[in-house]
Amino acid sequence: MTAETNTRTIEIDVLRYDPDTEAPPRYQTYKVPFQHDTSVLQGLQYIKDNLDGTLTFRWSCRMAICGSCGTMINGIPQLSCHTFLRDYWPKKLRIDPLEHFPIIKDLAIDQTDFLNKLDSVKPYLIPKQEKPISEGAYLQTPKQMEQYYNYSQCINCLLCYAACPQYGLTPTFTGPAALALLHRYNADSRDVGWSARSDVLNSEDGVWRCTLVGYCSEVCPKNVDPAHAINQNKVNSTLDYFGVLKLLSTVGLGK
Amino acid sequence: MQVITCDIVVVGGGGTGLRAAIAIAESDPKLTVALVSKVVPMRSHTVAAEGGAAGVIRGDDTLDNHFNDTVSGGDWLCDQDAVQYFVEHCVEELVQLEHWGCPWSRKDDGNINVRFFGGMTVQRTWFAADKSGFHILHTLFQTSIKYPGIQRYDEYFVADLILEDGRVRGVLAIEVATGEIVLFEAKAVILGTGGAGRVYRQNTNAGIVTGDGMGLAYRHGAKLRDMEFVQYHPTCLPGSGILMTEGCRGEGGILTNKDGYRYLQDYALGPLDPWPRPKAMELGPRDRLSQAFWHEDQKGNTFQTPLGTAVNLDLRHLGEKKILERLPLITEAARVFAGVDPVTDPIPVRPAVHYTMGGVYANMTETEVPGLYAAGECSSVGIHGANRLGSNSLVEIIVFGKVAGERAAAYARTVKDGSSAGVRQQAEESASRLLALLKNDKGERVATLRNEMGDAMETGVGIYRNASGMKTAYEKIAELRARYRAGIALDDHSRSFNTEWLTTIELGFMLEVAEAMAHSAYNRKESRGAHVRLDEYSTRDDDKFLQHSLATYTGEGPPAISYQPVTITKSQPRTRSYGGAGKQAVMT
Amino acid sequence: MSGRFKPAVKTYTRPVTGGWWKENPFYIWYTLRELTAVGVFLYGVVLVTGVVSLGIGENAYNAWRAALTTWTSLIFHLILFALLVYHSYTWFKVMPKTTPQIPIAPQTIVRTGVAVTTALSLVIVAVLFGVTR
Repeated sequence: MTAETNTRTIEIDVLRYDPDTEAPPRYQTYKVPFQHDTSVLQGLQYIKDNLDGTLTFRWSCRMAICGSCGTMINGIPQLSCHTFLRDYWPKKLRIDPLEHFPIIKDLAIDQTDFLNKLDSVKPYLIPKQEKPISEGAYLQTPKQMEQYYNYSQCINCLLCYAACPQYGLTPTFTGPAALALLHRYNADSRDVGWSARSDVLNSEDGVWRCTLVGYCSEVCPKNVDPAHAINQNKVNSTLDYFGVLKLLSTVGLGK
Repeated sequence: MQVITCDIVVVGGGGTGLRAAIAIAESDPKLTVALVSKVVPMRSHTVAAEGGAAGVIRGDDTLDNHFNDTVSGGDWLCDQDAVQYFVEHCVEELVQLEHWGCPWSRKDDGNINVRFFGGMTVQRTWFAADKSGFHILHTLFQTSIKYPGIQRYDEYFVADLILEDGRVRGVLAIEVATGEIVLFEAKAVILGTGGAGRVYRQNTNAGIVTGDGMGLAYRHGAKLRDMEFVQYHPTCLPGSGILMTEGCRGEGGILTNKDGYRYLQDYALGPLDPWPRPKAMELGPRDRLSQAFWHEDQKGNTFQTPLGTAVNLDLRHLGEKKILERLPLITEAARVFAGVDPVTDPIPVRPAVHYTMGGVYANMTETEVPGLYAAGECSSVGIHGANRLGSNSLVEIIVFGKVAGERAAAYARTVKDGSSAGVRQQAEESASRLLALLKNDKGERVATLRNEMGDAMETGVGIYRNASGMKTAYEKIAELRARYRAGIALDDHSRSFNTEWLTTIELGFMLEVAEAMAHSAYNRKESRGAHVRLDEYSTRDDDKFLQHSLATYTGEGPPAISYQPVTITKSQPRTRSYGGAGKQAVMT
Repeated sequence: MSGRFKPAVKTYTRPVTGGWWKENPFYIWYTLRELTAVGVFLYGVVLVTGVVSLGIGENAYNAWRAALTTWTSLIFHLILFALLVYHSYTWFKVMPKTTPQIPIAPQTIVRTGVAVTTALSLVIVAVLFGVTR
């Protein structure tokens, strides 16, 4: 580490789980030196580099854009690269893997359910017809972009799934991030894929599984506001059910 | 051992790999593509790129302008035929991304907006706020889901290439979750594995940017080209190295030293006014700005922060509205990681390693190994030369990602199917070597060697270099390679999700790539672009060194360095100059 | 969910306990919000009882009115009132999440809703007070 001017030590309990043994998960305590700007991720890296190379966790960009490092820190879903040890000292820190996901090893959770949910919402532009490249870009005004831009900011960090008690109770729920992305495409002026995605949106496990707890939007590090994406579509879903698609406010209509 | 058979393996799920896979799926839906990535694709480092992607769309801009900016930016070490192809295909790829949904920032009338970037004569950088890489990657990733022919193997770590009779036959990968070793048999392999910035201690890169693909190709007979050219991005947060995009300066941000003085005017980038204007002052090329910082540091004009010396990136005069609209990501990063609000305070910045200009030598993405293709940062197709211009890389990955996909698809159609005992045998041998690494419990910790390598490269092969420094660096790397062979003691000997094992394999690649960088640098007895020497070779020598360097793997010993001519078509080398007089630019 | 991505084989699934709602202040307030619906229901029962008693006869109705003046009833109604205030407030607090993308700040929606509800409630109380004089 670089020259210390003001090094303190904090105790961290980390949930350990080894898939190659039968033993259930248990906590292990480490003492980690830190400075003012040391993140929880850097704390974990310190442990792995110097104290215990078996400690396993995902990370990559270190700047809250790749979405790899989601964990539960004192029971709250957060990005470990974006959370700082100084804010917990002198109390102990407890790190668990993201809630509501199966644990593969230590802090690494199984993301495959989310990847399948992502597939199911058809998260790609479905235009009215293929536009030749020679015609150039679609026109899209800043106002039109405002309709969906916020929902395109999702880094797929899965903190919202950890936050959502409905996902915890009913894991077939499509979930906040996937539904936010579904809405992102529906609300894009270049897209007409409402019908292609309506089965997923209208289903019991679509928007209707959401009871507007709203914790997903609270923990989202990018202010995507998935709760808004889902709940504004309850009106759309109802109108769709009654066959009055044309009253849908801003989403593209399937043909 | 599990064997998966497909037509083409794409290694790396970033912008390059995804674009290549889509190109294959579109060119021939009957071809099977395995997209094999050590992380789930949206974690790839493309996601962190901020500033934008260049493409000529303004009426007052021309392809020749983009061509000339790129070639002079690269200090004439660019292969001009590749640059010509490149500039001709940027816009169509950027439009294709837009058709796939990419939320490029718009003007009020709904047309694409473009901004200034360092070293560019005219505004031509398409941008999506200051998260262009994020949006490009997510657009490509989400679009790739449309194609059933693209089979995804997320969190499979490619640890070896398999060749037979001199041509590529597949890759050997570790399924991260289980530690199972899997052989992918394929007719062609495309490397889209990114750069190698993590060989340096201070860098803007993610932990995964460890030069794996470069190492793989290098070990199997492909040469690494122009490895001495490593780009320092001038504006990164001290300590973490987190990137403050060039877009800050593209929007009009300025750099001041501890006295509040815009020091770049002292480094042949002035005069100060009018500001902003292209290719002058803070809109000069990255190598020149990083070098200016180094000089200011030597003179004591930088100020001390707890994490190193820095200068100020001042955005205050842009106003809160513009900062929050155009630069939201860096605003948040500055607030969270540096405790500074760009709206009210200047941001402390210093250079950090950002991009690897060099890479696997690839002629229009074809390497010297039949069936092996390389594109993006891991490759050297010849467009960046000795210094890359900002916003040329995000468009490089889609232009050449597509080329690699199409060429690999064409090649795969000519190759006959068929497994072979020889391939299986090689795979078994490679697997036992990997498992031997896993079992080892005698030796040093992986972090020890990694940190020593980072420090050695930072000191000896940094912004400014000299003969003795580079020699010390390559000797140190040779020593580290020997210590690596002597053994890395792991704490974790399990098979499942063993990231300690994987970082040890990555360290092996990094040490070899670092050695190629250090030797290539030592042997280039001139200064050009990002490779600047303070010893007797401090000027450009077109007579002897208007050539690409090539590093050939020799096994345990140092690389053999040779040279290759540069393809020059219409731009003859001249003095590379920035700054000077000019009109004030109209900001968009 | 089924799909092309198969989950890892050896994983550990943490059970969701019945006490999940206690684990986090956010969940506690959410659960309270949902429980206020029970408060609304109970108040509805009180009112229906009154209507039914009115249908039975004057004695029954007077008995119902008498029951309302006991201390038990007053405390019960104060609790219900607190629950209904929270119910109304949270109704508006989540309203911004249900609107389409409109250029009105969420805070504005919440404050307007609360203000209008408070004003209307005061008006109704004043009118009823005047009418029952």
